[in-house]
Amino acid sequence: MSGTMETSFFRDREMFEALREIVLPRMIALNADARRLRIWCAGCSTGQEAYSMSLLLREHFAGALAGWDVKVVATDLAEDAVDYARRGRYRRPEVNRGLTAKMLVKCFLREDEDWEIAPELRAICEFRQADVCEPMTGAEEFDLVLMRNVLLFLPSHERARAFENVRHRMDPSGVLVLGQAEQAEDLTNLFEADYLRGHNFYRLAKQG
Amino acid sequence: MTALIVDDSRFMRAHLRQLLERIGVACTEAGDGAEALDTLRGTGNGYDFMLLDVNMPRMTGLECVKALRETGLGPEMKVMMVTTECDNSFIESALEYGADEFLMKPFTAEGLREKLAMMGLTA
Repeated sequence: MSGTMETSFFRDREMFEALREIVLPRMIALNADARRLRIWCAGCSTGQEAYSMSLLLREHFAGALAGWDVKVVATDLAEDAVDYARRGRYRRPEVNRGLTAKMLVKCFLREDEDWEIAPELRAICEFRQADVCEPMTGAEEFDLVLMRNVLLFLPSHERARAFENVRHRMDPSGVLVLGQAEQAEDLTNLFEADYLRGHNFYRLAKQG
Repeated sequence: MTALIVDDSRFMRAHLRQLLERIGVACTEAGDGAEALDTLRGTGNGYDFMLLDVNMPRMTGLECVKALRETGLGPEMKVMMVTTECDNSFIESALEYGADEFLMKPFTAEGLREKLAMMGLTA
């Protein structure tokens, strides 16, 4: 389910800072043997969040993740948003938000009036049309799930289904991030939260 | 926080001033690069940041940022180019000459605030 079309690169910088400084280094250490990292952007809208993750990994973890199997799966209910995301071409008002000038020139190619995400950043991103309230196809387990500003727009029974779907797809040591105005209060028995940089990072609660 | 707004359009200067004053930034204006350098020579500590247009008479924004960094005027001052010029090669040149950030026109108040935050400037 798409939350809203309002999005930008590195929306909520502090959350991305917490990912960079704390969450991802832990995750990479945990996955050192498998050398595999799976990220799911649920409700990816026009793709900025998925590409921000790709950019973050490349800028700060290229060495640590060299030779790893890394994928960012991004889903949205809206087909046109997914098409837009997959194309990876952004207009001036979009690249004017959230990206430093250095990132822009390094990670985007100018194409006519647009900017196109560099092929190596796009390569790890896979966009699919999917409803977060329905079970996801495939069998991947995700180390990190970003489902920000999606729950806000769902009625409570659909929120519960979305949580259930996400929970089933999270690696046992995986982390879930919600939007700043969202909490997992419906399902406090399913998750435990680490409060980092003003954000809750949810882990699966130990069962039994 | 203090800012020097450099643009040959008085409408753009007024627009930037309004946006910045709303977040508590004290603004000074200059109409081109040469006037900006004169203004900087006349002040002891410079400004926290400069918003610098590119296409201006007498001295362009690129010439201005280059002169600024070569002469060491306002060494701590952050410089953000604010312009419609936005080819990657142009942005790279501006960064090489010593600009810290880049904001493309047209922009929103939120976009301006975000870019200031990226330079470590929060009002």
